[in-house]
Amino acid sequence: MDLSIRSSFKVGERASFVETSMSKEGNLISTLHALNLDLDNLRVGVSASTDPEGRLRRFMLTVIQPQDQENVVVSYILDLTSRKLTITEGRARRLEVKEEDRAKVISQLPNLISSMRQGPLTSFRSRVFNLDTGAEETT
Amino acid sequence: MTKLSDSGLSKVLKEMRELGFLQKLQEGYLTTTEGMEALGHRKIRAHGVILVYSGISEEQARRVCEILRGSPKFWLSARSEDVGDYDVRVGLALTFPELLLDQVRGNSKEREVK
Repeated sequence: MDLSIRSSFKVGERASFVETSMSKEGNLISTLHALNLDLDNLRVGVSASTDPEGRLRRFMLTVIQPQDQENVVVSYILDLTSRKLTITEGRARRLEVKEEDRAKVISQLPNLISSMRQGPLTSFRSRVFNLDTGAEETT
Repeated sequence: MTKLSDSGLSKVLKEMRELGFLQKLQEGYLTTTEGMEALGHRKIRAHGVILVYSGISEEQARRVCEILRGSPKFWLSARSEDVGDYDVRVGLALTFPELLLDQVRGNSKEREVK
């Protein structure tokens, strides 16, 4: 799987947009469009992945809120292909993130993502819901 | 393979039959529709095609059956490529770059907020 960055720019001081494309053997498989906002004491990321025909496949909302020495991370993944909503809540040690670090992460993303580690995550749990019935599924 | 003794395996197979998940045939055991549902698999019959599936909606499964309608005797096995996991990882890393900081900084010590 090859990841490339198609577009990356800042929108004012507190928002940034990144678009990546995933391909395999030269064929486009998926495109991810992501907007990240740095609000007061809160980070919010919204991203949508589309298939090669541009149809929405997955929508993801991530909220990160600092609490004491930890960050509380909550992500909602709306998967329209498998008709599932996955809610993951976790905690992570707070690390200092400089602007240059963030820029490096974006520029090096294609090399880093396949070996992404757990990083500062200390705990997390996921719940999965069926979009058609609302029933929680056992994972 | 199952790490069960013969008697243990026999007991499990008997319980699975009693639960209706397996059916004993002359040739061996057959997983029943109830058994497939217990595994999270669903089965539909539409347009003369029997389709076993998971991870897609019934409407999508019916559309596949419609496409295959009238095909001569066939067997089909398909699964999705795991791009979802990649999408999720990239989306998460863009909002929460801390997940990749240790890799960006090499082996330098992570700086914790005091």
